[in-house]
Amino acid sequence: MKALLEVKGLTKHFPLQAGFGKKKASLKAVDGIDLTVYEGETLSIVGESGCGKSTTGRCMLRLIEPTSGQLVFDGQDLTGLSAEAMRRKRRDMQLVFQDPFASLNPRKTIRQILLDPLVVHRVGNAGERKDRVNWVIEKVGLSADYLDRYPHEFSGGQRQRIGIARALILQPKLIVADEPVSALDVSIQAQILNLLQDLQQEFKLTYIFISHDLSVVKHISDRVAVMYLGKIVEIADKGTLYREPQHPYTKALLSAVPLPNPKLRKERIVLKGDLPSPSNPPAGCTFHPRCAYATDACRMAAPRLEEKAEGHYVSCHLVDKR
Amino acid sequence: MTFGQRFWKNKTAVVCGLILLLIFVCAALAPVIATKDPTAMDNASRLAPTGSAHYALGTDQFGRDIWSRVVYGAKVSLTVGIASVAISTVCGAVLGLLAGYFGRWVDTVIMRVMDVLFAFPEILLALAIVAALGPGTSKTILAIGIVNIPVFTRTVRGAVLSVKNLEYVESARAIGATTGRIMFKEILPNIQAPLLVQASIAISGAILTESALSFLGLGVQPPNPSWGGMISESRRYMELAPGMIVWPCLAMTLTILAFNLFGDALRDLLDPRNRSR
Repeated sequence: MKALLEVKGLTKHFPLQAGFGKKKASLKAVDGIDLTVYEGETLSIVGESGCGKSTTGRCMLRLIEPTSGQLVFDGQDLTGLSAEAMRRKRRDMQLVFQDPFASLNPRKTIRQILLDPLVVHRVGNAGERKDRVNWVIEKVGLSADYLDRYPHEFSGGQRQRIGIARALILQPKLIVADEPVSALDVSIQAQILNLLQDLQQEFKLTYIFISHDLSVVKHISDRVAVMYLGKIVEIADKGTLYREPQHPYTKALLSAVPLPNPKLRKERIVLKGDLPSPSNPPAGCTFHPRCAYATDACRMAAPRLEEKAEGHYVSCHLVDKR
Repeated sequence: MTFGQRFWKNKTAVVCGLILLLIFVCAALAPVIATKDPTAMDNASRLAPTGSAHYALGTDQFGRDIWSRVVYGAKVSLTVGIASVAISTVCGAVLGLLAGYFGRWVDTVIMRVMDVLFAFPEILLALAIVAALGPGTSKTILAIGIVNIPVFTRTVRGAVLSVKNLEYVESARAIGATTGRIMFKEILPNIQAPLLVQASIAISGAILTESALSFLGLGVQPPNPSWGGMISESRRYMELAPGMIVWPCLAMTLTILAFNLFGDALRDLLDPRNRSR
């Protein structure tokens, strides 16, 4: 399989206001991420709130400028690109937002919103653009009659379809979907997820799907990366990860997924404490204060993300290579 | 509903719009509507009362027709009001957008300069600028325009700060929009409500400032009529001929009120969220 996006050592440290005489502190939202996204796959990034998954997604598109690291998209290094070159490159990489109520400009009609990407990248003439807009709105399951309405006249699910249409209209290679269904009702979530899957098949799209909902991730992903405090702790294909999670954090996360069958009780691993502050992460393995199996080694040295089985990377001292 | 249909349903907008239209027509067609030359003196009928045979609104201390002077004064007041606010709106919007959107040192530099302008009392600053440039209508416009820039810059900057981190601005960046496009096509339409209200208030303020400058003898130069100048001259004759102060004041009050209410109504009408189907 061909790699579409390679992320190497990506970090994002937000500087914090330092007090008088104090050392300048920073919030390590993303702290060294290595990832490869293959063409045509759906890679999910999961983790609890504040673990840095949205920041990671935005850094991958350089919507937030990474502190360090390298991004290779389709064989081209993005990190060195000028602002103007990056702007042109955005044609191939789009973002779908979490909140369909905030991501559409309330002053623009749907037609204007969908025309924007074409105008910005000077695609086609007026007639071709009009056809393209009509085509894309039907692709996402809405009627062209809606084009001259304003965003506030639509429901959340419909707005999210419009957001997807805007991302799709330039026919990008990569779409980063940042919690695209978490603001929607469960019944609507399924519709949007199915729409995303249909579009992926039809247009050979590659998705980076950011979510905190493990059942949603199980439905849509090919591979899953688990994030904890700005780092990836485990990454594997969906089947392996859900069947045999290796990292204690992944195990705890999966044990918290509610099962529809009440007779099928399973052991629930309850994590102690809260997510530590990313401005002052624990030494050694960042997960050790909440880990039931932590040893002295975990307190001393940070583990590296290593391939423990084929295609299964885990960042834990206690997981043996097979 | 189209914009026109909603406009006709909004009674404030219609009434104020008509009043403003009337004032505009008066100002534009001043030579036709004014019954006499506004500077022609009639020594035989000085300080004639309102409702006298030849002069509907009376005359001033030189026997000049007050009606004609009020009509010609409308031209001055409207020109100064609208032109100066146009200057401050454009400059204030651009500076406010730059300061709010880019932040950091751009923000610091622009806003500190604005603070310096803010520190002067409005009239004093206008006086200083007019004193430096010399009196006259165009210089008065420029002076009042400059004086009002900081208010607009602050209003716009504040509005930009509240809008620029919203997701639709980020989504415009994500599709690859240029910075200029984001500022003028995404942010500006969403801050037009405070901008419009500010502009309608500023027009009234500019008309008042012009009057004050004329009152102090630095605005429109006599014998040319302006409302402020007329009010200034009428001070000494208030008891003898109350019409001299009443009519220009009334004209000014009506104009200012109409501008303020029209601005409010327009803000509501331009918001697509208030559109009902």
